Amino acid sequence: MRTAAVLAGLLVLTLPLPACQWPRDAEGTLDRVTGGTLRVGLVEAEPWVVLDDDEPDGVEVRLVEELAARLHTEVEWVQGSESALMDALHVRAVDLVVGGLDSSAPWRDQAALTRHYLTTTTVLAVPAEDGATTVDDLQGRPVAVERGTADAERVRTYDVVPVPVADVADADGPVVVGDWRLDDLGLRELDATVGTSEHVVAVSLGENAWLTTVERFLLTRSGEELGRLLDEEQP
Amino acid sequence: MRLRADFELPPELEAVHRKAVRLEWFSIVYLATAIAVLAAVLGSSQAMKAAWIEDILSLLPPLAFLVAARWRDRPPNDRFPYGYHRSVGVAYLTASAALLAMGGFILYDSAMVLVRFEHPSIGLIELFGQQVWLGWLMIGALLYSGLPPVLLGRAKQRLAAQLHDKVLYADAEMNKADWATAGAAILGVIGIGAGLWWADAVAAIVISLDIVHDGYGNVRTAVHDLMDRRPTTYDHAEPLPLVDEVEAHLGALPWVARAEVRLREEGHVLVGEAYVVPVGSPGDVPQLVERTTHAIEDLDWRLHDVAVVVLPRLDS
Repeated sequence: MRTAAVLAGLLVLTLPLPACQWPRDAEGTLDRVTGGTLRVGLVEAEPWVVLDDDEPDGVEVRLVEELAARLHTEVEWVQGSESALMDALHVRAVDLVVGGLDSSAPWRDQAALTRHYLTTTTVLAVPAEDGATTVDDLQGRPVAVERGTADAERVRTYDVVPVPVADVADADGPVVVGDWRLDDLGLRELDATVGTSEHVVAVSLGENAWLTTVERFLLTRSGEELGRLLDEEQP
Repeated sequence: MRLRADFELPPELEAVHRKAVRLEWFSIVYLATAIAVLAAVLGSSQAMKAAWIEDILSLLPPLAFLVAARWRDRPPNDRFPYGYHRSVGVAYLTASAALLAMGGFILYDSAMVLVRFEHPSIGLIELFGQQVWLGWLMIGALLYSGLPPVLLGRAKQRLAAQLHDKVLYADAEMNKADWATAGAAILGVIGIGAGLWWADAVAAIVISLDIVHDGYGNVRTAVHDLMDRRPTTYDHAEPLPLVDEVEAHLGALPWVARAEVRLREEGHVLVGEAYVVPVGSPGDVPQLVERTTHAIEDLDWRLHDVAVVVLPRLDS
């Protein structure tokens, strides 16, 4: 009986809400941002967020700009470390954080991660003229891989010899490379995935209207559009 | 050493028991699907988590029942001369303690969500190329996990009454209360959607209080049963009238002047002692005791191994 009374009470509280916006924000972020200012935290992560020049650039920066244009909102960029920006997001000092975030990021207590809008992989690839047709042909061969990345170790499972380099674009022979760079570098992909990334952005917790607005925007980006943005970020 | 006689359910109850076993297997299969469906849409709702954990915990009573069903009928042996009827009570206590501990954990966890002002978020999911608010799927999953158990619970309760099975009864009670859990979680999810961040944690607290309540009641009953308290009806509502009935039956026998009976429950069966003062010259006492022992067991299928003790007088 006691349970039933509490349920009835909760129901009465939730019923009279207007149905115009669903789901709604706990703190009204979407309403505030629309036609106002969007505070975006940036973590440097090529090619997603590039901070070389005065103006931020990168795939996710472009996406945020497009979203902001749709909401008629002005963007206020803030740079910082991932930890600092997630903390800022938690206390609602920023509205959105981008920077090559992955769905496995450990920020679930501080931020709401969106559903992933893009999955990229790093793969073993060879120059078009290379004779290798399968990953077995690369056994024992040196493979160029970006220095200081997890891929540099993970690629060892394919029995190849990793050679750390600054940029795999300058390497000859087999490389470990992001799948979006294959065409640009004239590489042929072997059937061997080294790493997988599900790309997400982070918004404030409890802001469900804002979260679903960002998610809907990101999920409706076509593969071509994302591919074009990635191409534009090739060094 | 003398072993206790084997016990078998009356044939008509054997059939009821088989039905209960089938029903419990069905429950486990159904619960497994409900747990999987809830896990698929879990999200960051605290109330969803609580409902999910409660569903996992609802596996315990059926498991306890099935484990006990395998053990309770084993014939007594040199190591366990009283047989295995108590396995029902052991299974019951184990399941109840787990329930209580888990309820306490969820209560703490949900209260901390409130204290820390944690705001849960529910976003979108892509379904057949469409973006759908995950909350709607959660509500669907909760309906699936909350409504069928009510019917299961009703069916189990009928069988529990016939079998005098307290584990089955506890299971039926939990199933019957499942709609409230699902309902609270649905309101929590709707609360998140409405931007009421606290509604979810409050719903989770309501659910956890319900689990704690179940757990406490069942631990109490299980401990009392193992402490050999006076036998009660299957729903623990009132003392079993059988003790008085056996006393009345004995008192009406021509060779008995006075009789007092003490019974305890061991799972399904009732065992105990009947203290009897014979009339002046009763005749062949060993013969009378043997006949009376059988007569007691014929009074009710649950009466099993009631020792008749003949005394010159009863104190007090």
